[in-house]
Amino acid sequence: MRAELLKGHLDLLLLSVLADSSLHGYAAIEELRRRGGFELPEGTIYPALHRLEAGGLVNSRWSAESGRRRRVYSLTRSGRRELARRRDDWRTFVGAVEAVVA
Amino acid sequence: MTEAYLAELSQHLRVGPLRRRRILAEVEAHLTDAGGDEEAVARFGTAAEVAGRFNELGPSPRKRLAALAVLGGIVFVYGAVQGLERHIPPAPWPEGAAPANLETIFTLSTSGILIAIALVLATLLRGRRGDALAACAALAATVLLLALHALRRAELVPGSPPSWQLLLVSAAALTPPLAGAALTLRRG
Repeated sequence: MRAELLKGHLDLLLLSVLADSSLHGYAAIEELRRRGGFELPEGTIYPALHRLEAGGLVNSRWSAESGRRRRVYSLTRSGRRELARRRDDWRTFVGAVEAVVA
Repeated sequence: MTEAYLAELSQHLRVGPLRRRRILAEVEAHLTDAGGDEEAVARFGTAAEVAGRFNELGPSPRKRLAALAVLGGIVFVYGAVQGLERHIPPAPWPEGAAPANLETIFTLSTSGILIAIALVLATLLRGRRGDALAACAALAATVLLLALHALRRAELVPGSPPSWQLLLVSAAALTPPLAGAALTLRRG
């Protein structure tokens, strides 16, 4: 999928992939690729994760796996509420576009 | 390849040392996971672009404003305490009426102010909403503690200003942290 189609939706996608489990940035990118075939400039993910963290929607901690340190991100409670709100907005938007385009 | 990219990224970053270290460590871990070759670096994006995105992430204007409101509130509280000390007749308290926990009140209020200052600095440096909200909460709790103490003291020490004046000063001191919290919580 083209990267420009992601504009404006990256936060929703990141919140969605973090909803099921805590992930580090690389794993989040892999998950986006696996679930939706998204190919995006990978360097966009980390500033987005930092922005979500500054907004209190995710938190993060260092985790050491097989001797490698990675920053692992998880949804906060307000992140889950925000995800629910954005999912509703997204479904409304998709329904409206579908009604016009179809 | 990775080292050269990280060095270039570091050159373009305009962030504090702690954030810089964290960003570089995360990017290094990512590039290693991705193979550490030219293709991995290309997929990540140019160092200038990536650094530019991080550089834009300073505290939002609303969080900065909330932090400044808390700082203003601290100055106001300091002024109010100094002013009240001049207007409320000094101890001795009436026989047996002095609160036993004066030391605790002093320690708690000083700690509250110091914590609020530390959280204001953290907000300005890290831009996290949690820091801004905690700064507001620390100042509000300190104001409430001092207000209760001032009201009690005024009630017990003859010649003190009327309670409504103290309530007015307390309400004014509570305004900056409450306004800061509202700013921080506002959506959009």
